[in-house]
Amino acid sequence: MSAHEFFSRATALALVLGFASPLRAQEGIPPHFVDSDECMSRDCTCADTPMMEVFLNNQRNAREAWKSVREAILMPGGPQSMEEAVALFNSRFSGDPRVSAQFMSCDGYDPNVNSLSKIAGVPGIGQAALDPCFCNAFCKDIVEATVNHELTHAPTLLMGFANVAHFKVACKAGVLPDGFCNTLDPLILADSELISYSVGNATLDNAIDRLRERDPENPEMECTWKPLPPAPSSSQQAEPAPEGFWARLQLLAQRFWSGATSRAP
Amino acid sequence: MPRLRSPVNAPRPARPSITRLRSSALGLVLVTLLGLASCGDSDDPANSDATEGGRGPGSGGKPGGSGRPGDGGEPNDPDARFDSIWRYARGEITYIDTANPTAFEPAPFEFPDTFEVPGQERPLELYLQLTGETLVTYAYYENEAAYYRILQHASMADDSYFVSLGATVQLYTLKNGKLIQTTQGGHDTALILAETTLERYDGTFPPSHWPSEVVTFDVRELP
Repeated sequence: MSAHEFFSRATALALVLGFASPLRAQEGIPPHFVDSDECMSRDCTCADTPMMEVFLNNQRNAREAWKSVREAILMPGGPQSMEEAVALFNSRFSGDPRVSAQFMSCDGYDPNVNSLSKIAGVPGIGQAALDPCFCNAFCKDIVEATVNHELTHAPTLLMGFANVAHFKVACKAGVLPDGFCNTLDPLILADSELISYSVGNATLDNAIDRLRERDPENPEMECTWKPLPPAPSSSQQAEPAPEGFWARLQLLAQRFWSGATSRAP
Repeated sequence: MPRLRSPVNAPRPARPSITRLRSSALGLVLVTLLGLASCGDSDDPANSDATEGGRGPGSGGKPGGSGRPGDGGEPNDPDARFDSIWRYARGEITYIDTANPTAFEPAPFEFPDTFEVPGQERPLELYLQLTGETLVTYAYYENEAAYYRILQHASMADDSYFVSLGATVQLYTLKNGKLIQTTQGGHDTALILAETTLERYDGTFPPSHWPSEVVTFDVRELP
């Protein structure tokens, strides 16, 4: 895949998977996306705070994953391109299934159209476009954090490039070894990701703090809430029932004698 | 599409503060100013950077660097100041492998007029300016509706500027009417020294083919 194809495909942000659109590419914006001012998200209320916390924690984990990717770039055998950096990130981070479930709860969710791997993009400087499903499923502060994350990418990538412009040109002139030159682009991307996550996370963190201080529906009160229950880990998920009536009956008898967590071999 | 706006001339806090994020749609940053980029002489800090103009070494407040007689036989540029608009001209890389420290030769190279940025087919134009305590990077992609003005903190020290970039530092000095940027990098057992020469841009800034709309990104306000 060429760099251009890579960025074209990458333009739409996969926020929950942590893959953020690094650069502008108009052709990469899915046609059903809407401008951020047409993103009809509801205001966040106390009832949204548990999901806001989950979302924020998810983004913090994504940032930590990028931090580890950045360190890996400087190690022998580390990523040698932006694509490799993204691949390493994806191998080190998986999104919270509770966020996925919330996304899929949007009105008119269509798995063929709406994908959590593409929820936002940057069609131009200072502009953001979003999947209306994302707008519908999440409250405004989460969407705003996402937009802020996205809008931070373009200038931070530019800044990263400008800060090493001398090395980039020297590399192209062939006066520096590939082993050094190949680390520049992934480092620019990783730094942009780290800053973008910081910006988006600060936005959401502030929003949660505001709710903690004041319930927007009852300004005299503070929001209080219980955290969402943790997502079931794969080891806790129920295994599929065995096929056949007798096998199921045997399993039922086994559970009767040994308890629900026991499973016939 | 929305344009996220905040006042470009807002005073900067002593330390980055996330509370500043609360009041704007894109807390940290981003500022779109229509018409800010009106034509003007590149040496006029009021035109080139309204936020910091007139306080830096290049503004006459400190003598160092600006307009010293050349010592290398190159013509001096009496109009060259830190807060002039600068563009990349040429560079020199010295790659010193500590495993073989005697075998290094400085390698010169020339900068193109425009840059190729990974993933972008459109060429990028870059200009720099040091004004007050700010490194201003002007960046414009061909045919884009706006250009970026990226602000980073720069420390003044007599006749030099320092810009901290994480583990490395860029040093800026004026010499023979040129802006010299010096920095270093590392790779395995090697030390990489880069000296870049920037020439003063004496045309109208921003250039006439740039749009009037500018988006300002202030790194100093990042959380």
